[in-house]
Amino acid sequence: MSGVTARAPGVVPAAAAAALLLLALPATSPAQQQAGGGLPPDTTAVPGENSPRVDTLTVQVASELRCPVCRSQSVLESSSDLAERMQAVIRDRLARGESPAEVRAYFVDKYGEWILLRPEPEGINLLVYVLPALALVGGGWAVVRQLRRWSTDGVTDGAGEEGGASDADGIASDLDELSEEDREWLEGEMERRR
Amino acid sequence: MSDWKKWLIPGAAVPLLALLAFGLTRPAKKLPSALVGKEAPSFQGQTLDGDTASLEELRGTVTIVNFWASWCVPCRQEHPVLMEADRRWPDDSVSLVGVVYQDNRGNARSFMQRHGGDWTSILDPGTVTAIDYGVTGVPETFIVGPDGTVTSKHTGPMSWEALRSRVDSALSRTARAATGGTSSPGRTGEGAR
Repeated sequence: MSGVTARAPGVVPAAAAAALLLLALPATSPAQQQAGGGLPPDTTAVPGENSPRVDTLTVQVASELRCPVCRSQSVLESSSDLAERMQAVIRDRLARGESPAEVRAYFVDKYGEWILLRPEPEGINLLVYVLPALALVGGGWAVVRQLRRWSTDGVTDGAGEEGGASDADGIASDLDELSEEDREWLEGEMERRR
Repeated sequence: MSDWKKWLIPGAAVPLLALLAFGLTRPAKKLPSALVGKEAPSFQGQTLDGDTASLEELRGTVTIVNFWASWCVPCRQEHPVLMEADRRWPDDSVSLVGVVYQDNRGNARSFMQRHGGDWTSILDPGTVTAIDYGVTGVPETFIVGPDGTVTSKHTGPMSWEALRSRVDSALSRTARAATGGTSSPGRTGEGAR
């Protein structure tokens, strides 16, 4: 140990790194591994029929595919025989090492793009994603514009004397249209209220 | 209101309504076939008699691949059409092979004995072949050209006219290819279930 303490400070991290590297390397030789020696394999890290990773990915892919029998349900939700068989195929392909994207591509190749519950956002499919956003923005703009118009109209209506000459002219023309009897009654009423 | 504002709502509504109207005119259950024009998935399996058969054995002929089941009522309606096909076309130009869909050997054998027909039918445990063909239900029929390309697909029970036109189309395409004419894997319309 004294040799270690006698080394220059920069050498210690290098030695530690080398030791860590050695620890990271397999503890057994390839020959020993082939003979079945060493630690048991980590089954959860290797894709296999019953690995939790395959289970999780199967659920994920099955929830993204449409059941060809039910049409409105996913392969995961459907209880039809075909959906169950499709789940088995998904699991089998994932267990053989295919990625979720590859499994999805397999079903699209066989059934067409309608098998995907969420269409790929490309080409004409983009409309599905863009139109609702456009409708929301356009609708919001229309609502705001209308609300502003209503509030402006309200201010004008309640402006009273600030309404200006045009409002006074309008009232005068309305009075002209009244009959003689009505006008007398109105003027009397206004006088009484003063 | 300025001119463009006057046309804004009709301009947005008319194309949308036209799109919806177009959608309503299309049969809801009709699905596009993804397999037409592509190579037919190969399959191999046990026949109802316990032998082994495969699609590859039929390469070189126009092959009618019919997915069926003994519990399927439309398959019973369709069966005489397949009987006629088996009788009408010689084996060296047109072959017929059934794929039994979600059914067992005993029921399938009883069906064939009761309704007739001695063409090969292959069992499909796990529905793997049906999924490989993108089958959504039975009956479904694929016409495979001599080069192994799917030339058309029919969903639901076929009439004799529908089957004949599809097979004739595949045969004429084969003849054109044999005489050096151009042959394109054109799509033949799909029937609705």
